[in-house]
Amino acid sequence: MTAPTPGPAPALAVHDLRIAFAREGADTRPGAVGDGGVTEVVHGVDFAVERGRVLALVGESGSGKSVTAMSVLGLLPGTARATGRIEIDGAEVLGAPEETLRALRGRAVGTVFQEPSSALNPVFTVGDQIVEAIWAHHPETTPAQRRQRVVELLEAVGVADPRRIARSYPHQASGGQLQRAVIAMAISNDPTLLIADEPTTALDVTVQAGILELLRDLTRRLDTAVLLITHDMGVVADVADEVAVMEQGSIVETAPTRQLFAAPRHAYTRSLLGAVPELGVRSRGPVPADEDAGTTTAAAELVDAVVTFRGSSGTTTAVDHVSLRIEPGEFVGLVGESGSGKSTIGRTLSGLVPLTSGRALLAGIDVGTARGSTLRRARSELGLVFQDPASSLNPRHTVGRSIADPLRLHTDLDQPARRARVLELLDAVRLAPALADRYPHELSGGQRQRVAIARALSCRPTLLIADEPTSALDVSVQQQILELLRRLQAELGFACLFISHDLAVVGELTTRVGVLRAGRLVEQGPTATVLGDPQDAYTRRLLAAVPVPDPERQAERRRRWRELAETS
Amino acid sequence: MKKPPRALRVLGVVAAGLLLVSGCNANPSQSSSNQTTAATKGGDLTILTSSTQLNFDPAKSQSLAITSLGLVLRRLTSWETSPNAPTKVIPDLATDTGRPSDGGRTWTYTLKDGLKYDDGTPITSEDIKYGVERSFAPQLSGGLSYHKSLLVGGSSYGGPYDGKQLSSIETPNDKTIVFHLNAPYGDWPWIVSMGAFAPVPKAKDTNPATYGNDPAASGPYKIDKLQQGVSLTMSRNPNWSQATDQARTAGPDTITFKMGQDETVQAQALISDSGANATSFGADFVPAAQLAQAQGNPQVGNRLVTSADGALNFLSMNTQRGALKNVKVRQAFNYAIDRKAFITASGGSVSGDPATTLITPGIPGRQVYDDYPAGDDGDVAKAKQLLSESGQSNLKLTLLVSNQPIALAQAQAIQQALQRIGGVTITLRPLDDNALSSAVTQGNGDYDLYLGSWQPDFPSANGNIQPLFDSSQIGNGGYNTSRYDNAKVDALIKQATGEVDQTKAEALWAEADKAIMADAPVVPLSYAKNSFLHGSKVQNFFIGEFPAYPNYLRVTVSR
Amino acid sequence: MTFARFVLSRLAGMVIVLLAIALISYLIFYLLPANPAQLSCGRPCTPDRLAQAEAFMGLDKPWWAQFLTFLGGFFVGRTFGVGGTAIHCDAPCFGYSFRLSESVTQLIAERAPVTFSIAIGAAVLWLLLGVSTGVASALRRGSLIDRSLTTLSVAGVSAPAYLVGLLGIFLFGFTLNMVPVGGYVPLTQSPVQWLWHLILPWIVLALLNAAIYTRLTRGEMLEVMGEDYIRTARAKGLREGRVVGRHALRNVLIPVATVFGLDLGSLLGGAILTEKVFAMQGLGSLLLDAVGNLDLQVLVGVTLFSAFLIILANVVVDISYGLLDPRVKAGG
Repeated sequence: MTAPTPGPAPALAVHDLRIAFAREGADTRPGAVGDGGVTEVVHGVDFAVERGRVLALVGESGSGKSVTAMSVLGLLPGTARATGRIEIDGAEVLGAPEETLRALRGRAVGTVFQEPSSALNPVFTVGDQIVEAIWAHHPETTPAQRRQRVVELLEAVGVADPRRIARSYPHQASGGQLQRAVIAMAISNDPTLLIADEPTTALDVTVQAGILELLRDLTRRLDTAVLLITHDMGVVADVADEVAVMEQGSIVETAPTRQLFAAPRHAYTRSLLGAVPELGVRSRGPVPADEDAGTTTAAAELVDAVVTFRGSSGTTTAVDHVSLRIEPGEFVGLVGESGSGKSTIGRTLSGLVPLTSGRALLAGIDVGTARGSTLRRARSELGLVFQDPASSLNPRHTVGRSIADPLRLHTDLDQPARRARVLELLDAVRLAPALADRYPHELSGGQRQRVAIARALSCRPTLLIADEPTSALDVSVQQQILELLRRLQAELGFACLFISHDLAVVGELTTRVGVLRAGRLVEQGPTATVLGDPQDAYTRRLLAAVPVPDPERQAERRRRWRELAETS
Repeated sequence: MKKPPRALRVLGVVAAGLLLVSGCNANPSQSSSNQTTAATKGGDLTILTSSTQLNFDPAKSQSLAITSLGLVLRRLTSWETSPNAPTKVIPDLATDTGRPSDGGRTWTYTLKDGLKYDDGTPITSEDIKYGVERSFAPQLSGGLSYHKSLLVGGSSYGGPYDGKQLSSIETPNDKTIVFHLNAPYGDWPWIVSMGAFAPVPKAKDTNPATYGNDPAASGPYKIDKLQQGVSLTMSRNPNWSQATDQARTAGPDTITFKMGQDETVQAQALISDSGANATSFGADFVPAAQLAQAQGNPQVGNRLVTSADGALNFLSMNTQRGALKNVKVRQAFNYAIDRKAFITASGGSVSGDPATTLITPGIPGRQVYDDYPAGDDGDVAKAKQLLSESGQSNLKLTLLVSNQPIALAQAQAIQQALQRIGGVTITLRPLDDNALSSAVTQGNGDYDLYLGSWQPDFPSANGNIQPLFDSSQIGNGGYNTSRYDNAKVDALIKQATGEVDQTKAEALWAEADKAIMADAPVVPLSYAKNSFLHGSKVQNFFIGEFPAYPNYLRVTVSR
Repeated sequence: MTFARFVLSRLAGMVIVLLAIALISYLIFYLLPANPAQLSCGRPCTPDRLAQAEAFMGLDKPWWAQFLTFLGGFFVGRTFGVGGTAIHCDAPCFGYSFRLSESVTQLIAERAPVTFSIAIGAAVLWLLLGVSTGVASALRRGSLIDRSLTTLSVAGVSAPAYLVGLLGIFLFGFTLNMVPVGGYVPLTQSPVQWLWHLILPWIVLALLNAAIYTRLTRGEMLEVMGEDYIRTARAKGLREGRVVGRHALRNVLIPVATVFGLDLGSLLGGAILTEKVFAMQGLGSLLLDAVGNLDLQVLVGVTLFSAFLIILANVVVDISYGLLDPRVKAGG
């Protein structure tokens, strides 16, 4: 808890904030306290943010951090009730008339949301939307003044070509540009407080570094208070001055950032920090196969693979002359930012995307030319795990049926044998056998991903392709899934192609790694070598952009990143 | 537009854009307003019709002498209808109804003096001849065509537009016209009351396709404005003289047809009697729901006019098919029929009365008889007996019927009645009206039974008998749907047709009626009745004995 | 793909579809057991008179020859009959109605304004009505207004147009005597009377069709109001009216415009029941008459015209989609 500060009131002060929702159906949110048809989700929260300072509100999904942020804006849904005190510049916000709140929003309080591509209205230009934010609070300005201000703002947030971006529709700009535009909109009326709700979660790591740098810079330049909501301890280490850790609706620990990382007091804080995969930790996987590997049959192999797509704006090359070999039992990582072609490579190997040229072999079978039973046999050698388990499982099938599906297709096991195998698999992924008869919506995200893994392994594949299997999950759950994968791989000995944008995760899991950029494999080699001593400039930039959950080291890394960014 | 389903008439009427086509004998009853008062001059009359097209080209029109076309176009003869007397043929443009010679093969007419078109030009016999000639042109076909096969050379004549004339029509002077026929034809005076015998000045027929939009008017009205599908307005023809015209009273100053009026809306408008509806009448039959509504309300009931017995509904039995070739089978069916059930299915007693003869009530010379007395609901025992005598058993027959709801109900009544005999199975085969008429009038007669309806185009027994039972009318578009072929009857028809003496002709037709029914090619079911509504200020709105339609020529509007 | 290529490819597709429709119309017509010549043969109809009528109408030739003649008429016009009675139909000739003594092109030109007047007025009305009630319903989700509007829209979707039209006429026409019970007055003749006669049909059609739009708008609105950019719009301090009216509605209108374009397109081809009840001679009643009277030329002509309108509506929807939603580019 922060002590009351003498002198001017803090930009934002929250006292004993409680938020409850009228129950719609049965709310079984963990930690929810039922009370006469309402469920309390935030239980008396206190914190304050000073001008020029960044307070990170950290917690996992469902901890109440986003709801808390929305209550500051007075934008809770109609079913919510908030009590306590929320003061902005010393003025009470909670219970204030709508008109007062509206005058605060966008003026005293600017907001940056998680997903820049959906935070902007797709049917209006970026510039128009920023103009509107200025107009809402300064209708006395002329249109020309507003347009001028938009360009200035976009310049201020580091948009390279502000006039073009102002004219663009959201779909015409990149995620980084959009998030900068959203920030420009948020600061358009010189707010006292900036609320940034997971501002970099949806962005690539190199873009994230730039946005975080911008946030830090703005805080200093504009003397704005920032309430940063995040689940990423690396981000916290990078920009926050203070941290408040939220768990199930309560703040369990508040501390200056360095102090928190150095000596976390609360058990939950410790577990959060412990769950973060850290870049540079040496993987302990099997030693990479040696040079005579070429004589054995690879689990999977791409030979000079090219994939092009024909779109409305011409032909794009998604995979550009990539050769990659995965030995049996090998754990290979494939890293790259969005659009680098890493997912296309996974789909090519599974035969879902045809090659334009080159060859894709699965257990020695060319999936490009194989037909009929040969192709089916090749496919049975393959297991697939995708990012979002909710959409890759049929919502109308039970978990057991979903897991048994590949068995029905690729084996001649009878019903009892299949059932036995399903239970065996559930056990292997550490799920209770009773879950076999449940439906996906009854499961948590982590459980669903375990089911997806069980299904992928049902036919004892030679190769498992895991495409961003943890990026939709909370950090602690993510750690469990990674641990599970590592253990299963060790036990069952399948080869694994692990596709991820998260260098730290790849570093922890894999023995060999390939770095993709714009469809080209810029670097590949043993994980320790590539991450420890990157040869390619892009790999180096990528590595430097990853924030590490250690404020001291991150400050140093940030300095290096800046140099790198300037030189390249 | 569409006929009330009950009047499932044979082919003839199906096409007609006008519903003012044909009629049947009728003895007015039921209506308190079906009476005549002194003709009032003036006022504006409105006629509501569901038809979306009004055609005033005399060659193409199937309109009766006493309906819309008759207001504008006079012919050589016209009809005098009355609620209390048989319809008479009366002189119109001509001084008399025709002078036969050569045993009924040649007919001569003289025009009255002082006849003029609306533009003041005199009407000549040449114009009548030209009007008849142009009705032969293929592009102007579609009207009543009885004259086309009667006039000498008619079957090979193709109209006047390529310069040819029809030599069997002579015009020795401006006042006289002479027709030469292939055979004696006693009903010729009725034939020259049809549209084709209206005068058409050749000079005005510059565009035959659109002549009907504004024809040279010889009647008391001329067409002022025609918006096809919307409305037609006519006003007085200043050159018409009442003194030369005994068929028309020309009461209203203007007459407006409102087209495309939905039957239900139309009837509802007339029931409401508001505004212009008080001076309106409906050209369509009143739908069942509004009929019941009108009958239940005395204020409205006295503006409802129901005709007496009209069109003959009958069951045709294909006399050239299987068991139906056997006269005893056909007679059995005549006994088994349940006319009460049939009339109930048709809409009750307001829709018609039981029929036992072929010549319909109101036609001169009709004799009432019942060869197969079956009571109200049939004599099943007699039918069983006749069927067993016939030696036929286990009959499986198909009944062709229109797919309109009332026709289907009627067909079901017939089906149930005939199946009571035992060993008879009737299958209904509903068809679209157009398809139905093609099925029975064309081809080789691939059907057993057919539910038909017939109204003569002119009030002579000839119109009842010849089209339905002359062997020349089998297939090829003819309406002999029972495919009845009896040389004796053919001869009798020929003799009656040629008889110029009406009394003798009537006796011959009555003889033919009975001769045909002895062979029982059809089961007469009912004589249909038509009901019409008019506004409270409409007077002299009556339905004569024939046809079962109001006489437009005498309707007036009260002040 | 460039815009010009997009338009060209759509036009080519349109021509193929229209040809197919014409061909199918002909085929269906010739499978019918009825003979259209019989209807214009007169009564009684002798075999030689029938043959004459068939020859005049061109029905004596095989169906494919007739179809080719029909297509040819398109480019070079047609002549029916020979000599003094011949009727000429200048190119582009969509056919000639013997029954109505007018070319199909002329008939469509006469009837289309009636149907267009009904359709466009009603469509504008139902769009306004449907969208506003849909928005109101969505914004007050679960309220009395929402529930009554939902119930009413179910009633609207399921009510038959003919019946509602009749009820409207009985109530406002006969009982209250507020509006004319039917008929059409051309706009050029009297704009006031035009409006006066169209009010009731517009309202009836609008009430029936608005229901679909209420439901569509409500659903879309509920979805859009949950979007991130609505939260952003609120967070920048916009008034709720502007959030709904500008940010939400603009996105809701994209799917609504699609449905609207197609609905309007098919209605422009003829509002059969409405035209019948209100005694308006538009394309719908023309088509209905043509079917009843076996008027093949009119049947095919009007069917083609209606199909053309529907296809055109599709193209317009596609293009307007690109205008309404910057993410969609023509042909993309």
